[in-house]
Amino acid sequence: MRRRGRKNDAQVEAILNDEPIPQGQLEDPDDVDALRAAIELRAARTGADLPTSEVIEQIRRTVLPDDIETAVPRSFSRRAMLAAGGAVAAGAVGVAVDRAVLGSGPGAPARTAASGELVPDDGEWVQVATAEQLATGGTRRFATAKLVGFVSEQNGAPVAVSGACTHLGCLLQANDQADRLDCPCHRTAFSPDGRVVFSELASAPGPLPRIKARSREGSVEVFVPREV
Amino acid sequence: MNDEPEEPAQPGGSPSAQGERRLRAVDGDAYASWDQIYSDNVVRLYRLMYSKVGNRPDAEDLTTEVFLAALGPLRTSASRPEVRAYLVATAQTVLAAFWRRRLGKEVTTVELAQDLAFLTDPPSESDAPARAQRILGALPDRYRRVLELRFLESRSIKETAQEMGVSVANAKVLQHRALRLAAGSAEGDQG
Repeated sequence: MRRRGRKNDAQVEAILNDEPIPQGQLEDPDDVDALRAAIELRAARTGADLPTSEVIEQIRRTVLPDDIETAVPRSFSRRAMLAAGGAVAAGAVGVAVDRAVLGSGPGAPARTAASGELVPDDGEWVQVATAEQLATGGTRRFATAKLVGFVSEQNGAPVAVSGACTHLGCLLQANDQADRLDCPCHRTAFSPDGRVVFSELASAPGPLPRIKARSREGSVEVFVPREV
Repeated sequence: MNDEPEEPAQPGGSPSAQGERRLRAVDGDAYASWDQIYSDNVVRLYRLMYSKVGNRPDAEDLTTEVFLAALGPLRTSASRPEVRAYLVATAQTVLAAFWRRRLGKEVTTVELAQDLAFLTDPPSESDAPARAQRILGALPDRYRRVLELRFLESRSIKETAQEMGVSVANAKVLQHRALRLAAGSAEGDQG
């Protein structure tokens, strides 16, 4: 029996077993075409493509968090909406992202260095915590009309970062026990100052944009887009 | 599937929602909330993504990714056609990135016009056998049979081999060749 290279066996098997398609490299265009045929055929079973109500609920919980009213900017321009898809960082409305690399320490890998700061065109300082609250450690979540973020004390100074994961914009959750911000979507976590702690994604997402923060007369303030 | 409601799947029912609905006539038909955007599109989008990857775990992840990426920039005042156009455009990007990460090749793609039609008017479930026939129709009997047993009837390779009176190794080769042949005919079909 002539045995030809079957490089797509694992992928075809996964489809037959209803499992995620395993990672690999398909070089032969015929393998790619055959895998496509396998997908089409598998999807051509009556009812196979209908999600269960559990799946619908599961996705709903992930994509519609309880505080979506404050988390999602409500007034995005029509032009931006019609632009082709792609992850858009939540909280970037009316905010210029300064791509200049800030404060990456010597030897710090560029990927995990803070790579940007959110500086609104028209902003204002808003109190989000008191110095006392920050002094007790941990991170505090804050939400303004346009921005969700976390503020913490690092080396005696307040540091604020965006609260949206840089992968797809999922809202991060503070995990104070582990001293990090966890993404509920794809097992990615950031340090309170925005560096990637770990990520299961094939390529780690960028660090969290910083938000200007200051401590003034016992109150901690962040510089955020002006509320209209 | 007959699930094309004239109004969003979960009508708000409140007097204000009723008022908004009358206004919508001008703006196409719009949604009253994120929840309506979600409820009205989740099954359509999941079915589309399933048709691209052929397994439920990946279809679920991709559906989630598309909503996460799309809901941020969307306004709830966007009309239903606008929302769907944006979901399809986002799905195209998300699916392309998925394949690049997994296999370094785009095995399937989202075609904007064609797949917008899918979201707008999803194919009926009763079309499934016809779609299978379109793929299998041109194949010689034994090739068609091995794919029917494996892909449509979900038989194991061992059961398939027994049913066809061949060795397991032989059944594997048959399956592999049949898929390649089917790929050829499916391609011709798509034009």
